[in-house]
Formats: sequence, C-alpha cells, structure tokens
Amino acid sequence: MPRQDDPTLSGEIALLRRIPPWADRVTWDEHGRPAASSQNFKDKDEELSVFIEVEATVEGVQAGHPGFGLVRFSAQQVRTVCGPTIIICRDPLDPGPLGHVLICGRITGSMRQKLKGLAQWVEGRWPARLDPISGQPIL
Amino acid sequence: MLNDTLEFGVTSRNLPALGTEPYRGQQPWGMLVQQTAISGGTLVLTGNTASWVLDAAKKLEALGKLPAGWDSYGGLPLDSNAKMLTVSVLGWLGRNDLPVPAVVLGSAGTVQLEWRAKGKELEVELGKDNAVEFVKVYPNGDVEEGEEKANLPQRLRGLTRWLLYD
Repeated sequence: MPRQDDPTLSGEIALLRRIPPWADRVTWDEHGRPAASSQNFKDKDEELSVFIEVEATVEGVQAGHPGFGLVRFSAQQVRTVCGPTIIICRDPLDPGPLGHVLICGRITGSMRQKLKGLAQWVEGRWPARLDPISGQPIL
Repeated sequence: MLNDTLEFGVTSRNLPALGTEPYRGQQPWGMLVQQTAISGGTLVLTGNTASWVLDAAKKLEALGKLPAGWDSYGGLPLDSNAKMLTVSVLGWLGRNDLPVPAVVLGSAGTVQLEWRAKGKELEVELGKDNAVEFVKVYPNGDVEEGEEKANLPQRLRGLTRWLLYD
C-alpha cells in the first residue's frame, strides 16, 4: 500500500534517530566532539526511520542499543530541507514500535548534508567512542 | 583478515587482482614495497603510495565484520562489489597526499569515503554498480553533488584536486 503523507507530522515535533558508534558513522574532532556522517540520514529502502520524542522517549529509543548515540531534529526541518520529494508518515505496522515514523522518498546528498548540519545531539546521548579499526573503546 | 606481506620488484605476477575489470591496469606503478591482501581484493602499495591508504584499507576491512542489522535499522553487511570498488579507488588515489578518510558503511552495504581539508568536505559514495556519487561542500557551506559513471580514476583525482588545491 502506498505511503501517504501525514500533515500532522510537522512543525516543532521533535524526531529522534539512533547513530551507530561503529562503521565510521561518527567522527570526532580535535576537541573530542562527535560529528555524525551524512550516511546516518540515508536508508537503503528510502524509508528513514525516526521516532517522535514525546511518544517514544529518549530512553525508549535507545533501549537495547548500548553505545548508540541519539540526534534530534524537527519534522519541519525535514520538510523544509527535503520539500515535496519526501512524505512523512507513521509506521503502518500495527502495532509498530511506539512513535515510529518513516521519512519516505529520496533524500539526496545535499539534503543529507543539510540534515546533518541541523541535527543536534540529545543531551548526554553521544555515541560510544570506538577505534574504527579494532572496535575497542577509546578512553 | 588483513595480511601484509613485503615484496620487492614488480613482475607481471604482481598485477593487482581488482574487482572492477574495466579499470585493471590503471594502478599506480613503481617499486612494489607492500602488497596488502584484503578479502575480496588486493591493494598494491608502492614506494609512492601515501600513508593514508593503508589506514583506510584497515577501516574497510573492519567494515566487513559487521553483521546484518549493524545500524539497528536493518542495515546490510558490506557489499562485495562496493568493497572491491573501494579497493580500486584507494589504488587510483594512492599517490595523492590526502588525509585519512572516514570509511563509512551505508545501510545498503555501500561505502562512503569522507575527506575534510581546507574548510572543504568531499564525500564519495561507492555503490553496487561501478558508479560514484559525490558531494562537495565548500567553505561557505554551498553544496554541490553529482554522479560519475565513466573515467572514474580521472574523475576521482579531479575531485581530490578540488579538495586539496582549488
């Protein structure tokens, strides 16, 4: 069944996305701050999973995923950056994960760059810092 | 497993076994000082090979150990063709004095190389076919994107020249 845009998913509704600590999905600057790769905003099926913060909660989104970081951006930011090439809808699975939302459509490289710049780390939810080759924690 | 062996001299038997057949024979040549066998391809390191190449190859090898679902969203394991294309790219750019790139796994098993230099960013995504998508981020924040399907060695060298010099 084709996805249909849900216009109520807009404005300042905060969306959360997990960021893996491995696969170079995060790099660290000289001040020890993480930067998420633009690949974190691309999905192989062009259905990017995110979670509505007030429904899923920060703790709920991270549950079962130790070491993962968490970024936040708004539904309006997604709509502004991506325009009509995407739709935002709730996960049609019933029951799906709580607050699970899909951003459907092709998110181009320049859009991913903009989303990367807009996404903010959730306070206290940086990913674990791992060596990209050994996978061991960097203390 | 990454297997480093030291060899000296270049003979025909040292021809690299790369996965992208059309580009065979476009490797940097010179005295072979190290041959790094990566599962799925062979990267030939010569005396002219920049040091970042081996670091990037090790990162690539590490990506191959990640199982399906590694990103918590059903991400696919490293695609063998994307891996071989990445090995080829490392060979083509191996003489360029670039910083060590981020070697990022995409959710479809693709590989994205990311460089930052001189206030600029260059992202090169290597997919399942022999096409390359790129994103250039200028110091003022402007973004340019595109795709290359032919003459990949020359095109990629052009992109890295933009990063380092233009």
